[in-house]
Parts: sequence; C-alpha cells; structure tokens
Amino acid sequence: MPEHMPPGTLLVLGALLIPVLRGHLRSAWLLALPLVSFAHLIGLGHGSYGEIQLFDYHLTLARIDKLSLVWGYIFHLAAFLCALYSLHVKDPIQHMAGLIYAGSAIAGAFAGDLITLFVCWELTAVSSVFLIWARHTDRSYKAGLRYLVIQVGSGVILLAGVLIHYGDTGSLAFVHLGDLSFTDNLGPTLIFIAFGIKCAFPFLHNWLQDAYPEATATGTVFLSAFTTKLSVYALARGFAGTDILIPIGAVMTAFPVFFAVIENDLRKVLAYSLNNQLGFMVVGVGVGTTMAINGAASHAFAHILYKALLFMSMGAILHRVGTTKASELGMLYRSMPWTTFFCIIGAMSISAFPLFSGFVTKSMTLTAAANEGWNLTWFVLLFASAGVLHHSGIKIPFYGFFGHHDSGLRCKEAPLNMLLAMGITAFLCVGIGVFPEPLYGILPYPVEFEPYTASHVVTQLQLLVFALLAFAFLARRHWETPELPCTNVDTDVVYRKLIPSLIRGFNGIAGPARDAFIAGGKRAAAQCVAYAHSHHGPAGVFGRTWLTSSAVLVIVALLSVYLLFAYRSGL
Amino acid sequence: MTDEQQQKDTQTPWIERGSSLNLLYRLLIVICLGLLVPDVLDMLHIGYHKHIHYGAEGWFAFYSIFGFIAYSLIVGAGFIWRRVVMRDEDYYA
Repeated sequence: MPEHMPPGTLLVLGALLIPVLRGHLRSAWLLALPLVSFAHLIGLGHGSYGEIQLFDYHLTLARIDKLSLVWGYIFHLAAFLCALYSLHVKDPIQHMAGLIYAGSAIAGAFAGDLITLFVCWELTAVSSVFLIWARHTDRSYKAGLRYLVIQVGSGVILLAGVLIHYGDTGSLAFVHLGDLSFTDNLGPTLIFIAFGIKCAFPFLHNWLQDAYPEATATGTVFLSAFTTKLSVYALARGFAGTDILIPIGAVMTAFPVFFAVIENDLRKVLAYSLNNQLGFMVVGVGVGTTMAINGAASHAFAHILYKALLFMSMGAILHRVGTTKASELGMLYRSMPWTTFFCIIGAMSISAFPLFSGFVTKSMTLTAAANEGWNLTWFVLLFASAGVLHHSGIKIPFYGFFGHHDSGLRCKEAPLNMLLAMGITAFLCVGIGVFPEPLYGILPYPVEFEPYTASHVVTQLQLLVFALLAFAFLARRHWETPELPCTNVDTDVVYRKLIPSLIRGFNGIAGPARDAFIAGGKRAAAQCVAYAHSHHGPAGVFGRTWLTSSAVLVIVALLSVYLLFAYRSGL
Repeated sequence: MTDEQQQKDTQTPWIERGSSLNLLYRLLIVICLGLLVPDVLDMLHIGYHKHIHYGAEGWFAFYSIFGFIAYSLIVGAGFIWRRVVMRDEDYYA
C-alpha cells in the first residue's frame, strides 16, 4: 500500500473497479473498500503527506491532525454504512458514484492546501450528482442539473478566492484564513462564500432541499453525510471564531423549522432538518472556543449517524412503497416494525433525549454559546431544539409509520442489508449517547464538559417532554398542521420561476421590438430598391438606351460649355 | 359499547385503539407533572440545584413552558406560513 497516498484515494481508485465485479465479489469489494481505506488512515500518523511541487505551487495533499481526523473517522464509518445500506442495488454507477463521492470528501477533509481542497470540492460535486440522476426521472434529471450548476459554481468561486489569496499572500496553505473583507481580504471572503454555499447558508441553501429528496433511496443517505459536513469542516479549519457565523448559524437553526412543519415529503422534511442541524455546527464554529469547536465536531459526528439513520428509514419506505409523502402514508409500522424502531431511535437521537447521541453533543455548542455571552443566539438555539423535536422527533416517525389513518399500504419489511445498516447506526446512536467518552476522546481539544448532570438531564427532559405534550394536546384536537399534497416555494422560486418569468417578460417586450425593427428595416430597404428601380430600371430615365447621336449631342454641349468657361477664365 | 364495536376494538392493534391513546396521553401528563418536581425542589433548595446561565432559566418550569409554547408556536406559525408559500403540487412542472 502506498504509504504517502492521501486518505480517501483508495476509495476513489477502488471504486473504478466496481463495474467489472459481479455478485458476492462486488458486495465484498463494496464493504471492504471503506475498511481498507480506514486501515490506511489509521496507519498514517499525524503530519503532512504527499508534498509535491506543481508548476509554481507547493501542494500538501494530506495533512493529518486531530481536527481532520474527526471527519476522517466519521466519513469512513458513513461510507461503510452507506455501502452496506445500498448493497442490494444492482446499478454499478450508483456504487461507483457513492464511493468516489465518499473518497473525495475524505480526501477533502485531509487536504493540506487550498488547490487540493478545490479538486476534492469539485470531485464531490461531480460524483454525487450521479446519485440524483440515478433515479432516472425527469424531476431528478432537472434537480441534478440545478444541483450541479450550484455545486460547481461554488467550486469556481472557491478557485477564484484561492488564486486571489495566493496572489496576495503567496501561500496556499489551508489554515485559518483571517478576517472577512471584500476590500482588504477578498480571497478568503470568496472562499467563505464558497464554503457557505455548500454549507447551505440562508438564501444559499435551497439546492439541498431541491436535490436531496430527488435522489435514489440509497443516494440520499450518501448525500446527507458528506457534502455539507465537509463544508462545516472547511469552515472550522479556515474561519473558526468568525463572528458573522454565529447569526448565520442561528438563522440556519430557526428558519428551516417553519418550512419543515408544512412540508409533505418526509425526505424534504429531513433536508430542512439537516439545514437546521448544520446551523448548530456553524454557531459552534463561529463561537470558536475550544468547547465550541469540540461541540461542532462532535455534533457533526453524531449528526452524520442519526441523520443517515433517519434518511435510511425513509429510504426503506421509498424502496418498499414508492413514496415518502406523508399524505399517502399511514400505519406502515405494521409492515415495517424494525424500520419503525430504528427510525424512532434516530428521532430520539436528533431530538437530543438523554442516553441518545444528540444529547451529549449538541448541548456542548449551546453551553459554549452561553459561556461566551451569546444570549439571543442561545435562545434561538433553544427554540430550534423544540423545532427539531417537532419535525424530526415527531413528524418523521409519526407520519412515516403511524399517522391518523390507515393508508392501506402493505409491504415487506426493508431488505436485510438495509436493516443491518440501520441496526448498526442505531446501535452507534445509543452507544454514543450512553458512553460518550470514546467520541470525546477523538475531539480536537480536551473535553471539559459533563453532559450527564442532574440539571442538564432534567431541563432537557422538561423541554422535550412538554413539547411532546403540546403535540399530543394539539393532535387530539386535530389542531396540528395537516399534511397536504403541495409544493412550498422557497428561495428556489427565484431561479425556477422568477428569473425565467423575467426572461419571458423581457422577451415579450424585446421580441416585438426586434420584429418591428426588422420589419421597418425591410420596408426602408424595399423603398430604396423601388426608388433605385424607378430611375435605373428598364423604365427609368437612367436605364433607357439612348441613341448614339443623342449622346454625341450631349457631349458636344458639355464641351461647348467647358470651352466657354475656359475662354472666360483665359480672359 | 356494542359487542360489534368491542370486537372491532380488540382486533385493532393496541397502539391504534382509542383507549390506549387516552392511556398514553394520561401517562404523558403524569410524566410532565413528575418533571416539574425538580423545579419545586430547586425553589425550596432541597437536593436539586438547577444550573443556569441566564436569570430566566431559574424561573419555575421555564424549560417546560418554553418547550410547550415553542412547539405550539411552530405549529401555529405553520398555518400562517402555509398561506404564504404553499402552491399546487405541480407548481414547477
């Protein structure tokens, strides 16, 4: 095994062999690749690897330290779980795309310079779009195109920022990039915007809710794990302690709640929920203290697992009944009891119930924000915590597997590989919640946080159980927001409706103006032709055939006039 | 309850029966009341101390009331928000 090969490259290279493998050999290969890649990572100690000179640029293909290792570990774990979950899929393109995507995200998390980061950044975009297109529907094709344009656009902005930064400083090192300023520090500011697009900052977020629910049942599980968390890592590496991240993150935690409450497609609900969870991590990165960075890193770790678990359970529903629209589901728990059970574990983890993973990670960020005096932010995060319980803790399992009526849908339980993947992920969600010490042990900084204090457990239970009481109280009176088949417009309305309408409106004015201009020009040209024809045509005065004698007479007359003038001049 | 209704109720899975849901609801209320006990103990300074960052956290049942109201507000806001952003299912088609 090449010792200095950057982590993740084995996954990318190994994935290229997938199309030539069949049956059990392919399954074994899919499961072995993440394990081998993980072993490779473990074999590499802290330090820099793959230092090369490319033209004038000094590149460091891999830099392994405590911060990048958190993402390295969880990305490998996610790659393995996703591979197991999608083992039944026959389409080799999906397997290839999934593992290349995972490998490039891992390589991105270990990138030691900004050019390497850019290459991985774009490779994640290009490889992951095939997970959306693999659904082979018109909607997924168009959503994939929009996703690709935005993701590659983010990469182009990143590259522009990197080159400007290199021009200003002569450095490509992926370290803390300084303060944001369009006038004094343009390069890092563009890099920040590029990270913000992938991290789904408010108003830059809607590619996530647009594309993820259109991917295949297994593809969305892959997608949920890597892109956005790579950007959280990039923010933690390049912009930790940047204050503007705190209000951005706070808004991210709050606004998706209001979309999730009215969304009918449960995978879209989870996409909004993902946005909300990213907000907690962004706040942690923005606060920037050791506890806050630990909070963001541990939350990213736990979040990848419980969010994957929730997407897996919805993917199992999609696989079995072909839809995840709440208005079309009901009482599926009868057919899919194990999937229901795992979904509830994911729901309790994301809601941060004690003994589940969210409880021991998310609270670190809240405590760090409170410690640093971010009062309003703390209240927003607390509000968002109740929101999480609503859309992910209750809405997903309730409308996915129970609901108010029996939909009549009867199906088989999820395939064995899906159940195994869900089972392992659920086990890890509970395991981290009960024994957080191993997770705390791999965090970037020593952990000075005790999650299981009587006060923390009681207050968290009060928040969640009383919110649960509100749900029961409202549901018994049928006062909760009904699940209706609909489309809820978000910022994507700008590029899917508004801009096309403006273009059509412009065409409505410009088209007739252009036609009138062309018609006027044609008329003017026709008049010119007619005028010329009247004088130079066969009947025109200049078009006639004159007698030679007439011509001679005219010439004699002209010469006579000339002679007269010459004579007068001579006098 | 007639025999037919009783038979139908016993054929329905336990979790879907009206009686079970009522029982669970009452159980939830009991748990909620139980969760208020630590706040009483905190006020009386008996065996439990609530660790707080802000003064409001020290109020009796702050987290309980916050959770209930926040959840209800989110649901209520959903009705209003839906009027603003909801369109036909094939809006983008």
